[in-house]
Amino acid sequence: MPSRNTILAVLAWVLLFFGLFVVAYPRVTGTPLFPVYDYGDLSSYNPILVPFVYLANYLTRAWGAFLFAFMLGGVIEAFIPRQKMTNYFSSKSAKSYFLAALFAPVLTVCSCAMIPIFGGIIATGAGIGPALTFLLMAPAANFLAILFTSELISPLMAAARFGSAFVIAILIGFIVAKTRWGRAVEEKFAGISAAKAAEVVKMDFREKSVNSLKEAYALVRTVLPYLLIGVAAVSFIDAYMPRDVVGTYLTGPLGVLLGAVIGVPLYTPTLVEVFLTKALLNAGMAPSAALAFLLGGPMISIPSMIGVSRIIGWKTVLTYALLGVLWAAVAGFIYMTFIGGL
Amino acid sequence: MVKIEVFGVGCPKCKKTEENCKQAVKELGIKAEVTHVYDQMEMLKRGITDNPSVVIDGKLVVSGRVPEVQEIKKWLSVRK
Repeated sequence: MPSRNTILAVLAWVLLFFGLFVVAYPRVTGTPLFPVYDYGDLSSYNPILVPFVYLANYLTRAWGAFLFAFMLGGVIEAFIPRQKMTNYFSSKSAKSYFLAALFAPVLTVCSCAMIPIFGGIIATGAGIGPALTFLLMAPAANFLAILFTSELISPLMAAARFGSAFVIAILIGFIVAKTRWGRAVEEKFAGISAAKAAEVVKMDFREKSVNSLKEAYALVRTVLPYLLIGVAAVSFIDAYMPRDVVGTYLTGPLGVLLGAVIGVPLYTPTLVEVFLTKALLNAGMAPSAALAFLLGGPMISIPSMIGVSRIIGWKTVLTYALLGVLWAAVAGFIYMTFIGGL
Repeated sequence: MVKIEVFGVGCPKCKKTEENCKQAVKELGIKAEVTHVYDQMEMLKRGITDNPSVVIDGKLVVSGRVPEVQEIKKWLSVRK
C-alpha cells in the first residue's frame, strides 16, 4: 500500500498533465474534449440569471485551463528556488535587467512575495532598475495571465502582451535607474544584505510534489473567490454595455489612450482583466486598445504602488506609473499600425 | 520567553504560517510570543527578501514557504 504522500505526489502530476491535455486537445483536434455550455444572446436572459449563465459558460469552456494554471502555479512555487534565481540578477549590469524580465513570470505566482523580492533586488546589489523590471513584468506577463490571454482572446494577443511587457519593463527600469531620485533610493539601502535561513531543509522530489499540491490549493483560495466575483460583474458589461459607446471610445487612437489609462483606477483582481477585455472586445473594443488595457492596468496596480511606496518613495512610484501608462499606449499604437486584428 | 516573528503581507499562506507557529508553541507548552510583522521596510532592513518567513529569537529559520507544525517544533526544541 503506497503511503499517503506518494498518492498525493502522484495526484499532483496527474492533475497537471490532465489539465494540460484538456487545454491542448482542442488546439490539436479543433473540437473541445467536453461539451461547452453556450448561452446564445446574453441580454435576452433575466438580469438575475446573467452572471450564472456567464460563469457556467466559462467553467465549461476554461476549467482545463484553470486546472492546468493552478497546478502549474503550485509546481512553480514548490520547485523553483527563488533565492537562487534572484541571485542570477544581483549585479549592476544590463544582463540583470534581461534576467529580471525573463524570470519574473515564474518567480511569483502568489503576490505575497512580490514586494519582499522587489526590496531584495534593490538592496542586494542589482539596484532599482532590475527591481522595477521585475515589479512591472510579473503581473502583466506571468504565465497565468499569458495562458488565459491565449485561451480567451488569442495566441497572437498573448504573444503581443508578453513581448510588449518584456520591452516596457526593461525600458522603464533603465529610465528610472538614471533619475536622481531613483539613485537616491539605492543609496538608502546600501549595506543591507539578504538574511539566509540558518538551516536549509532539503526536500526530495516526492515532498516537493506534495507541496505543489498544497501551493496550488493556496493559490486557488487566494485567486478564485475574487475571480468568480469579478467575472460575475463582467457578465453585466458583456450583456448590457452599449455597443455604440464602446465603438466611440474604445477604438482608434482615443481607444488606445483610454485603454492604457482606465485599467489603473479600475484595479481588477488577478486574471479578471482578461475576462473584462474579452467582454469589451465582444462589445466592439479595438484589439490595439485591448493590448494597451492588458498592459497598463496590471503593470500599474494601485496596491503594489502603495506597497512599494514605503520602500522607494512616491516620486519614484509616480515616475514609473506615468511611464507605464505612456509605454502601454505606445505598444497599443504599434499594434494598431502593424497588426490591427486579433 | 521565546520570540517568534512571522513576516508576511496578510496572504493566506502568511496567515497559515502564523497559525502553525501558534500551534507548535501550544503543543510544546512553552512560553513564547508570536508576532506578525507586516511592515515592508522593517522586513527589508532585516534582510528578509521572501514571504512567508519566520524568525525565532532573531534567527531566520525559514523563508519563502509555509513551515509544518512539526518543523517549527523541532526548531523550537533545538534552541531550548
